[in-house]
Amino acid sequence: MVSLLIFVPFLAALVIALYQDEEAAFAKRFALGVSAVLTLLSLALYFRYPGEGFAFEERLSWMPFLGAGYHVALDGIALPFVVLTALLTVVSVLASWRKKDRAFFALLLLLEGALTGVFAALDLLLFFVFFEIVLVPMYFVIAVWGYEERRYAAVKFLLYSLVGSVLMLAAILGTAYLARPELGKLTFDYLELQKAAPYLASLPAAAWLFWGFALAFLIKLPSVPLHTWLPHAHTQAPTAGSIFLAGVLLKMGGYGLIRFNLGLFPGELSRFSAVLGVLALVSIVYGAYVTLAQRDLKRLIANSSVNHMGYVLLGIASMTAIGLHGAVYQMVAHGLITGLLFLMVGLLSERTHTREIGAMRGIYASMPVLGGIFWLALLGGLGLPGLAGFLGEFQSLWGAFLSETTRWMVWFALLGLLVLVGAMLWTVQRVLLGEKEKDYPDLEPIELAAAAPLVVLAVVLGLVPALLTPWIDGGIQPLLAFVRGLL
Amino acid sequence: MITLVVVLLLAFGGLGLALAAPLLPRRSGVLAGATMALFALVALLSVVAYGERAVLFGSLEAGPLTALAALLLAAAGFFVAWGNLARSEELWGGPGEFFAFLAWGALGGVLLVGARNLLLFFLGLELSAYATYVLAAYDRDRKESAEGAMKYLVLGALSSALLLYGFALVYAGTGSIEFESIRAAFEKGAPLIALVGLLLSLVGLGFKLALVPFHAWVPDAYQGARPVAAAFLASAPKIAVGLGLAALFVRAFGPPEVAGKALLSLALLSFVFGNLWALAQTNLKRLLAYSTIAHMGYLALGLAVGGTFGYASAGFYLLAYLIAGGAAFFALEAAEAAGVPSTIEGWKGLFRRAPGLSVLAAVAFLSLAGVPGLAGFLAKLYVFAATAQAGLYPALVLAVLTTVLGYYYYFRVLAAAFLEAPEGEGALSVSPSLLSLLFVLAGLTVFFGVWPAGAFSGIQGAFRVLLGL
Repeated sequence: MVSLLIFVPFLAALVIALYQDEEAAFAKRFALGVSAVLTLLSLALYFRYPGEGFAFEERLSWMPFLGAGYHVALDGIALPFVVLTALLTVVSVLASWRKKDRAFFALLLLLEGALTGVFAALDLLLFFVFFEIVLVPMYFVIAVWGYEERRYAAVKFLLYSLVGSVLMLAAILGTAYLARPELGKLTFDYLELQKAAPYLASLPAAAWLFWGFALAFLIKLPSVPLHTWLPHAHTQAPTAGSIFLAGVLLKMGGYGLIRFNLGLFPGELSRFSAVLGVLALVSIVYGAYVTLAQRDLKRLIANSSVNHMGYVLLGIASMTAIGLHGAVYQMVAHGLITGLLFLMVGLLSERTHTREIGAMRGIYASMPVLGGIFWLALLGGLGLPGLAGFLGEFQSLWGAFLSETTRWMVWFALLGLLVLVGAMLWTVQRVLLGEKEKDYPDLEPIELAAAAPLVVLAVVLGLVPALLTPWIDGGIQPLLAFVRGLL
Repeated sequence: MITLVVVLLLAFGGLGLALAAPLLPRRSGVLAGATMALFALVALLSVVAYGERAVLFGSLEAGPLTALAALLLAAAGFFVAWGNLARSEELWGGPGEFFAFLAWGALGGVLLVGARNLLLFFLGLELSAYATYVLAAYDRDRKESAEGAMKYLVLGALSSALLLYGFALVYAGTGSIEFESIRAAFEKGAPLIALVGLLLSLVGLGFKLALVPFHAWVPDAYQGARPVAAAFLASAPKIAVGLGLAALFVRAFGPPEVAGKALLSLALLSFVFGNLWALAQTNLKRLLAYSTIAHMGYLALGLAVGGTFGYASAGFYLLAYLIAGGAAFFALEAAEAAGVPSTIEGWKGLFRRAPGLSVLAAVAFLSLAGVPGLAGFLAKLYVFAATAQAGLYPALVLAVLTTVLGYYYYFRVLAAAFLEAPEGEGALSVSPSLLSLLFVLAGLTVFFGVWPAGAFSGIQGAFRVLLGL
């Protein structure tokens, strides 16, 4: 079942690439159909999750001489992201309904397959393979269909990601070979390597391995000072690309930190939790101030992501159940809300032909539906209680407060929270409120269909956390039990 | 005995091609077909010869490693003969000798890898080198071709001289040219003069493998040669010398630690500087030439690490490079045959004018860059894993970081082809024979990138026998 979620998109991309059709009329319908079916499939898995540990496991022999196999499974940490990936593919296809290149839809499907693979892989080399494959379609999505400075943004995204991931490859190889004497065999299997975690912690190289992994994930997350690729990539990418970037690609960072840095090197994580906490704090406060200063609407949302991901890192650095819980919740919420924000900005700038905040006024008056949804998304972005973002931020901060190391940081993080609220409300005031200047056509049904699932989920997950919390618990609790046994 | 058949087939097949060429001046398709049939037969026989364990005439090893070399070289010759279909009519001096030298170049490689004494090793190396000198100069009406081939010849002769001098010193130190006696002498503790001889011959082999600082001929030779000839230059001698170096190390030298360290430093220099220099290139042949230097650096890293896994990783690297590097040159050939110059400028907007060719070329370039799912990634992964296994972590970190540079310059080519507006107008007519060849090579790149286990265990088995495990 999990393999279907990974490989059906690849096959569908191949079909689209081979099927000659000029206006992409078939390609977009086919992509929509495939991603919709896969969303239903992923939801089926979500609701059939037994409630604890890994489920839906699949193994195949791949490179036996290296101890690397095809091993995929999903737990409560990975499942929400798999559903999110599938859902955001549907949204992205709908948001790109006017595109006339079938290659674009093929690349979106490639992204979906590779991202699902990232969240499902339980073999470190397999994880790395998917982690790297993601870069290629994303590069082309930005570089071909982006805005003015797309080439620069795409190359910057590629190089930043690569530097992180090749160092992670070195760390993966180091981990497997250093763990070999303890395990008696060479293996890249995550669950096997976890057994060697106490031994790895005793090695002097543990810190190097930890940072080899952490660097790749901190770049992806991104955390200050490794975030400078993000404003360019998010701003220059086409709408669907921004939705994918913000909605899922950044989550690879937080997911990786929890899965690998916490799961394999908990001792090092607790040793360096103050460092990570400070990085998180800077991301939160600095990200908020930078958001306040933006004039470009898309750049504003991109920078608010730096702030939002800061909470994720803070929650992870706290190493408390509630903090980790908040980190995952925040990532899911951010995927929905920021995906929605980018969708709305994309639809808005298609109509106004500008992204300048100064050039827009009275959008709510001229387009009540688009304006209303955008308003809701901005409120979600500032963490309004009742929407999903609030629960994520609140739990992350609460978790951070419970840990000795990160407690003092919470007070400063609240400052960042406050500034971001200001930035978002100010955006509402400047863009949405005021007299209407010009009449624009409001959302079309297909655009509304793209936004609807995100709106519904942002509200539902804000009001009914029981739809997500037990799943996260099912992933976090066994992990924490394992970590406590080690520390 | 099958190995003997392989050797004779290549020798007399080449002779037959050379003799038949003047009789068929306008029938290059027939000659190419015959060459491909010859190489296909050799490839089939070498698969059978994999199981052989024998020594021919006391000097040629008939074993899995020789068979592996014959298979890879036959594949290289097969692809180059196929790739030459598109423009072989235009070759100066007729296509016949071109094909004959492919066969003899492959033969030289087989002899070199199977050699059991220094003399046959040297003869095999020279045979393979002479074939490539001729192929590099084949386009002699073009000034660059003559210049590049001349540089290649002079520096190649110099490197052969150094190699021979090194072998002479080894002989002086150990009193034998037989690998077994040399090895026995080295195991007892080699005299200094033999060690100096070993290092000198490493310099000579470094020239052939295009390792920094012995790489100066590579860009000019590749730029001057026609892309199909460059495809052979970039694959066949590398396969021969890469496998031959492992065989020489194991059969003759042991290998002493100092040789491994020397090779390791050449490897580090090659992938660092090869990648850095490649960044600045705008001519695609020169770009591929410098990237070859970098690739040979990774290959040499695997060889320097040694052991079954290190050698096998180098062997897999040769396989992946044969396919993807060859495909990159064939893509240049296809573009040149359609009138597109081999520069980044010239490749602008190629996707709009020749989408099939561009996508297939992209597979080759992505594999060379090391994108997962393609053979080039696994080749690098195995070399890196071997480096980690040997505990050479600083070299590992340097190696992984330099791959980022590779991504940068390969993606520059792709960006020009896919993102820029085309310079010229209209669709290009790409030679169907080259397009089908590129399709096959792209398929192999994906195949070995996803299912490497069969190929890898075959290669590993060959080295296991070499190491006597």
